[in-house]
Amino acid sequence: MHIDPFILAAQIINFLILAYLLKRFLYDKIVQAMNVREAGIARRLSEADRLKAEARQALADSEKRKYAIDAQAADMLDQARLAADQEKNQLMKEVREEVSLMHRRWIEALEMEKSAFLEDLKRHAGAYVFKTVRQVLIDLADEELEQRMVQVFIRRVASLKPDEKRLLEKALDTPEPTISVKTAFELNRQLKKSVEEALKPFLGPDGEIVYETNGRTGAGIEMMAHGYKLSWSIDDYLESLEQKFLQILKKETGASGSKGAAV
Amino acid sequence: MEILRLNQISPDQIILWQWGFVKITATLAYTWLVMAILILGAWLVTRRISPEGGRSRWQGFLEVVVTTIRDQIYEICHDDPGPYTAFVGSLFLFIGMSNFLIIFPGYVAPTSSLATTSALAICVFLAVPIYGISRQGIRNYVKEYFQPTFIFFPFHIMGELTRTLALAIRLFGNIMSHDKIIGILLAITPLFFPVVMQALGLLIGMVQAYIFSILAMVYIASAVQVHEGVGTGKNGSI
Repeated sequence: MHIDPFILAAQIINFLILAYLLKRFLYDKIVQAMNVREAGIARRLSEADRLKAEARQALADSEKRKYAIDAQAADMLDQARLAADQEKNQLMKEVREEVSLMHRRWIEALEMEKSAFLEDLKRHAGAYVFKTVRQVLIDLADEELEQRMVQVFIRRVASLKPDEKRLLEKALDTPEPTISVKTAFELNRQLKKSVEEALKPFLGPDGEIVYETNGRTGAGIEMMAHGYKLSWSIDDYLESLEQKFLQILKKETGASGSKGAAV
Repeated sequence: MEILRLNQISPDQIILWQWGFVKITATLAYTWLVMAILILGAWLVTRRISPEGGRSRWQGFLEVVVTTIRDQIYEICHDDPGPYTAFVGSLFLFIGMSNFLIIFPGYVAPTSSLATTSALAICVFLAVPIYGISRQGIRNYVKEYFQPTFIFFPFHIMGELTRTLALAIRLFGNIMSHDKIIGILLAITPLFFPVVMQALGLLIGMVQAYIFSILAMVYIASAVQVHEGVGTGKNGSI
């Protein structure tokens, strides 16, 4: 088959032109665009990987922070619970102490009140007893009793101890020695005579005896001589007894007060 | 009975314009048409090319085509397909487009002209030593013709020539015979059957384009890779 050389050459040239133009307008541009896109995709992928890694890191960090916050919160809660327990225990202790103190004070006050009441009761009872006894003795006192008391008085004067006698003599050692005798009832003559006889050794011849009557004295006789006093009466006994009673009462009250404070 | 006229066998016989030995035949006209379609299409698509998102469907299509060509080249040479894409890809696109347009009535494929297929084969014939020498130097390249001994030199030369001739004749024969078969079938069964044959012709046209460009790449690869010991054989042919 015949091949036209001109056509052959023209086709060679045509193909070369086509190859060049396709390279210029097709392959280079397409390949370049694809390379750019691939580079962009690779860049975006690496960026995405980086962001993913950052996100993972941020997630890990946030989880770590969350765990730390949780742990801190748990610690704080434990500490708060512990502090609350301690505070509660402290308050309970204080309340118990306060209650105990109040109880103790109340007991003390009660004991004090009780002892004061008892003391008052005893004092009133004693006073009433003494008042009653005194009234009974006053009611019973008569001349016969007076006579017996004068006799007791005379015996006491007679049985004065030496130093008492010296004191009496010293008291009567004056230019006008006077002895005042107080009784509840008027002494009859016989009794006065007995008294004068008993006191004469101390008065001497110039001495004078003054008799006084004092209903308040009750049963008894009292002798006064310039500062020296010698008396015997039921009142004295009663006063002495009352003093002893008060002493015992005071002792008991003190003992019960200290006992109540110890409760 | 004359079934097929001579100018229907080869478009070289259809002379549109002539001035001395310069003449414009249907082959050249249809070649320019194919070239215009390819170049204009490429220019229209790539003038607003977008490297990032929002690219057009045509750009996507061309990217698929170019990527496929580059992948095929890489499959053969296992090397950067960049230097070979323009040559081998243009072979495939030109032959493929030439053969594709046969579905249009009145069109005659330029590849059914022996002058066209010979011109393409000569281009391959010249490209092989050019690529080979540019890659491994003229000394190493020429030395390959004397391997394993100098006695093989004429056989290598014959091989080069015959495979080039085979390239040209294979493409020409397939396309031309298809045209001829279509013509014969039109005469025998004018209804329906020629349509099936047209479809078969499209398939044959694409296969031939693939074969021609793959073989060209195989020849080039054998020339550039012999020195590296990865050659696929200097005289491969189908």
